[in-house]
Amino acid sequence: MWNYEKRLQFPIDIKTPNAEIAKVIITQYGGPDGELSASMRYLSQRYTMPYREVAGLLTDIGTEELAHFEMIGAIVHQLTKNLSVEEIEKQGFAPYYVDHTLALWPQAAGGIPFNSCQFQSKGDVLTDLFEDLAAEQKARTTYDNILRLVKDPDVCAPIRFLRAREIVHFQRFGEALRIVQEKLDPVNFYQYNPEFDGSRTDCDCNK
Amino acid sequence: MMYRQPMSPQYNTDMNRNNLLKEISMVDFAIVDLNQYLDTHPDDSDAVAYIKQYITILCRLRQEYASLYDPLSIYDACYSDCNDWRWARMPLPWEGGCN
Repeated sequence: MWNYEKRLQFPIDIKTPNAEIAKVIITQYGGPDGELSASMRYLSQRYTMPYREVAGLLTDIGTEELAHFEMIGAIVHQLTKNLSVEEIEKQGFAPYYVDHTLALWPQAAGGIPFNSCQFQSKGDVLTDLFEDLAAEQKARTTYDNILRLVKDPDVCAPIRFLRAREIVHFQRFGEALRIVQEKLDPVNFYQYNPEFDGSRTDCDCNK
Repeated sequence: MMYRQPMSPQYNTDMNRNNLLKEISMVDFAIVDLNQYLDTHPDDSDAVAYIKQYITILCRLRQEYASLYDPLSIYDACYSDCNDWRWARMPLPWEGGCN
């Protein structure tokens, strides 16, 4: 279960609205390498994860990603707050505005809606951990790309914080991968899938 | 310290409140990061001692924040001596300013 805290993980106080930048940053709200995808990926993968420390890590990182999802929501909200119709038109925000006014809706920068196909929950320890490692790097690249486009220090500070967290999570998933590999057959990691074959006695994969 | 109403003009510019919230964010961040480290290093006793120390500090700070301002979670409401339900009226984190 979860409990809500009425505070952001990192303070966000943007003084200058900028819909053009909001349009780019929203990709981390509902885009392919965004925080919602990240959270749903880890929180979905954990149920069948046979190693408790890895399932625990997926839970804790998946939980932090929800806090990041909220941070991105706060950034986009503050960047689009109190915009006039003229500003909306001038800053290229009209196509989003017509469908959602100034509300938050998970989509990629190009307008593609959030979709579970943006992440995988494969049910194979190695496959999922490599997916998670790649996801952290893809998000880090996205934040690097955002930082090249953003000049406002009020926006850069929380984006830099989020970028740094991707690197830390990549490190933790790397450690999880090492823990898992130590438990697998050192001659052939793919001998069997501990997430499926591990508890089965009727399976001849273990022979 | 004077207790302030969330709607009062002083509330969002209250430096004492901002600083206390910033301190809570920093201490909690240390706990989040240490906790993930401990997920993959559960036998690191130095890290365990470290996180326990930060959790003790966080509990004290959250209690202070709830008694002076608002409860950051509903479970902190026991530290507030207000008769109204502060949780319902406190500022929302995405509002900006001090949050």
